Amino acid sequence: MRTGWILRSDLSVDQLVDEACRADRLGIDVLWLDHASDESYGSTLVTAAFLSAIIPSIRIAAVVDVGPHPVSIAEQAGVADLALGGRLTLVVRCGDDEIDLLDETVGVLLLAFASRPFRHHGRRWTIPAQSEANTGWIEDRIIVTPTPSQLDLPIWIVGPCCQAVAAEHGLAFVSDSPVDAGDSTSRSRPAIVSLRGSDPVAAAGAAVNSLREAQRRWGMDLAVFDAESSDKAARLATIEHITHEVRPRVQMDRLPPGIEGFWDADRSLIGC
Amino acid sequence: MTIEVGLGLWSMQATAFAPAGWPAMYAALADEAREVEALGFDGMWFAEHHFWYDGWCPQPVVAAAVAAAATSTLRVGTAMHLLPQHDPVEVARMATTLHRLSGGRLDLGFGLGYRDAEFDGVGLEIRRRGTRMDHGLDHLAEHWGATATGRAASAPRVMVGGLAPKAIERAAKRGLGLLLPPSLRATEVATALANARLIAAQHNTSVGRIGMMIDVWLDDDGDCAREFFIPRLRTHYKEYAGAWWQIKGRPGFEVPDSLERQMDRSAAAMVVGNVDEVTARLVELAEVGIDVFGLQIQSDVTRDRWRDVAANLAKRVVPTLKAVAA
Repeated sequence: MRTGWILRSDLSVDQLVDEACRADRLGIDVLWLDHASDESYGSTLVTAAFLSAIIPSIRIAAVVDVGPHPVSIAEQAGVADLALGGRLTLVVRCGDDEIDLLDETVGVLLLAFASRPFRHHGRRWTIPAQSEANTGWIEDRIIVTPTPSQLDLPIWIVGPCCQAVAAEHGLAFVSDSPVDAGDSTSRSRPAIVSLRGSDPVAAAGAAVNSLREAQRRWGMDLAVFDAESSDKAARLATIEHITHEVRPRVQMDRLPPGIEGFWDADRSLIGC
Repeated sequence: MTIEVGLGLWSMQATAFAPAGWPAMYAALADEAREVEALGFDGMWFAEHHFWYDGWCPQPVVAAAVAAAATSTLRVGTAMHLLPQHDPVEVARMATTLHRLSGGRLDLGFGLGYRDAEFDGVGLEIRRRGTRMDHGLDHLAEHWGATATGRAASAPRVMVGGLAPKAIERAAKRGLGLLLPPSLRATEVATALANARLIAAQHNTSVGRIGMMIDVWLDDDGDCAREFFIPRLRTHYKEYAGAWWQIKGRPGFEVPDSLERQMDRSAAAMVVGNVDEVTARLVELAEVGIDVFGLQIQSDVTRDRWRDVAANLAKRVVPTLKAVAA
């Protein structure tokens, strides 16, 4: 099972960088960039490109909300993916009444990432418009360049009632908890693991059994930890705990008898 | 006002004349930014275009984020970000993010855009670009909390591109900076700046920074510099001038004589020669008020070539330029 860590846009720059570096160094698989719940500002793709120059290994998932023109989203994602050397996953989110918008946005993104000219005529967008008002040279089909570094940039879907859209386009759906079964037919099966309260370390430890259960029941393979606490020390400690304590316990189907006790008995070498 | 000298333009193009891998170009960005900073330059400038075969970077703010992260004092700027082709809400989101992440080192040079295909690709009409530019600038000002007579202390610096009276007025009445075309002679710069200051005063504000992106090449032997650089840059410009520009109502490649005359004008604006020649032309511009220079050395030349020129500029031209008191 892979692990992920959510960074929201209300973190200070120093804290963002500290947590990203700690996660990268200790082997968190995915940094998940999202907006703070009470603000709509915070470009996750700009942040992803920024982090590309700081963290060398970790994959970055950037959440974007539907609404902006999907060609612009595709361009931003392409540039960010190139900056990251092919480490971007784009997570597209919609709200309650935005299923049609999600469907059209994802459809255009898939066309835009395909590295060939395309045209689209949908409910909201016509691409290109071929407006009579544009009297200079215009195209019948446009191509979005530069193409991403990845031949097949992953697009994941998150949001209420979005599973059908994900399935229709053959994309992974992000479950909002390990308990709710995700799409067991999808190749990638991520879920958000909320760490509520002021002690995210304890919450992460308590989640181990539910992660094992989800892995067995519906094949969950990426646990994206979302710590509610804003306490810097607690958050860094939680990253440490996930990588030292949680991750080893959820990789295999079964652990040999005694090994967990062995891990717990002597932690003196941790960090050396 | 302190004179700032930066380098440009980073566009990550893989042209027919200078093919390269996009992954390699973006992978090199962080190191190149560190190099530009280490040489003592003040800024690094990023360009924008869309839907072109060579992958011209369509999102300069995203690309600039890489440079900002790799450096600590280097300013990162756009020349130009085609504001009318974007949703101003998205521009505000992205620019605010980078301004915060960089510790306030973002410069936004905004241009109108001139390719019908770019507007059409995102469902816009080019004839509305002026209105969209006005709306975009006003939205950004409101977002960053600018007062009627000044600029928000924590907002990115904004410069508006163009020379037309409308462009000058657009910038001046809002207390913004100007990004003037390199084709201007020093006397024309002085006139444009005087007009801008007058308009700004009429609106109880003052003009911001006055920038210019200029093609520059330097060699100990001025003739060698001209022989190497001018043909390359003419070819570089002719490709998209021929494909994109409407000259007398016709695509550039269909009017080759007119296209060549346009290239002659572009070549005349280039600052190419030995140290004395390059310094003299740049100092002349600084003396009439240009205080943000973007020295464009990065078009279809290898990194080894431009880094040598950059190092020479930093050592032998920039100190004299910065000593000018406008």
